[in-house]
Amino acid sequence: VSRRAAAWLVAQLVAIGVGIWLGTLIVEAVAG
Amino acid sequence: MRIDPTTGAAVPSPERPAVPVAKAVAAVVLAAGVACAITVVFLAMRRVMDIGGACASGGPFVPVQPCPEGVPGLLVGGIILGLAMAFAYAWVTLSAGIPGFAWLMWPALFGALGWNFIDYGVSPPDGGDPVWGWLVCGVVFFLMALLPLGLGVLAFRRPEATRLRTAAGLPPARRDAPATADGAGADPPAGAEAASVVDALERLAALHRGGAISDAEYEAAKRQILSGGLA
Repeated sequence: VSRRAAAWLVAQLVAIGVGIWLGTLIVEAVAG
Repeated sequence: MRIDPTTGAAVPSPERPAVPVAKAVAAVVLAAGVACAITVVFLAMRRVMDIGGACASGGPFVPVQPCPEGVPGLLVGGIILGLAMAFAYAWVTLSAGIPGFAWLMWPALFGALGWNFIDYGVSPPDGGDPVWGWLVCGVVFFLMALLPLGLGVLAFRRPEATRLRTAAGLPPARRDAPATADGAGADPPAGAEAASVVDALERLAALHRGGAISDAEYEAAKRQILSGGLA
């Protein structure tokens, strides 16, 4: 895997982690 | 992208075009959005399964099992927005050549929902016996999650086989070879033989038209060519 591809995958993995955290917050806020 | 040591300016790498900034930002934001939507659907589904796996809201009848507050909106909104963002993410990453997780979105969705069915099927919220209906649903969802993974592996293997044949000096597979003009297929010997028969017939017809051979000689020679004798 090239450094460019690895940087892309890491950036998106971080984004996916943020998305999961946000989804948890939304469900807690809406459905309690 | 690299930095020129003499000028200090950023220079794009010559071997690979730079990804447009808008598409780069969109890819990261959409990856987060798809993960958020799958998480919302996953957690909202668990809220429904906590109360037995089915609920209803609205309509002319009084529902026996009302839905938890906000859960219907989360499910519907999560599915619709999630699908829209998934398609957008796949388009952005594929069109810009960004290595991404588009291939993983379908397995992630069905794997997550299948896990809910298995989890609640093995230990239902009322503490009773395993719920076989949910377990069957879980297995079906897991199979649906694994199917595109298998197809993806096959898609990766096919071009690899073609590269190996080329590297070994072997001809490409028959379906990859161009068809010949006379429609004889991709087999070079068969195509060459058919072409030589056509040439021989054309030469014979020219001799016949020019009066060099009689009708009887022409017919006899034509039969020999067609039977393979003079081709």
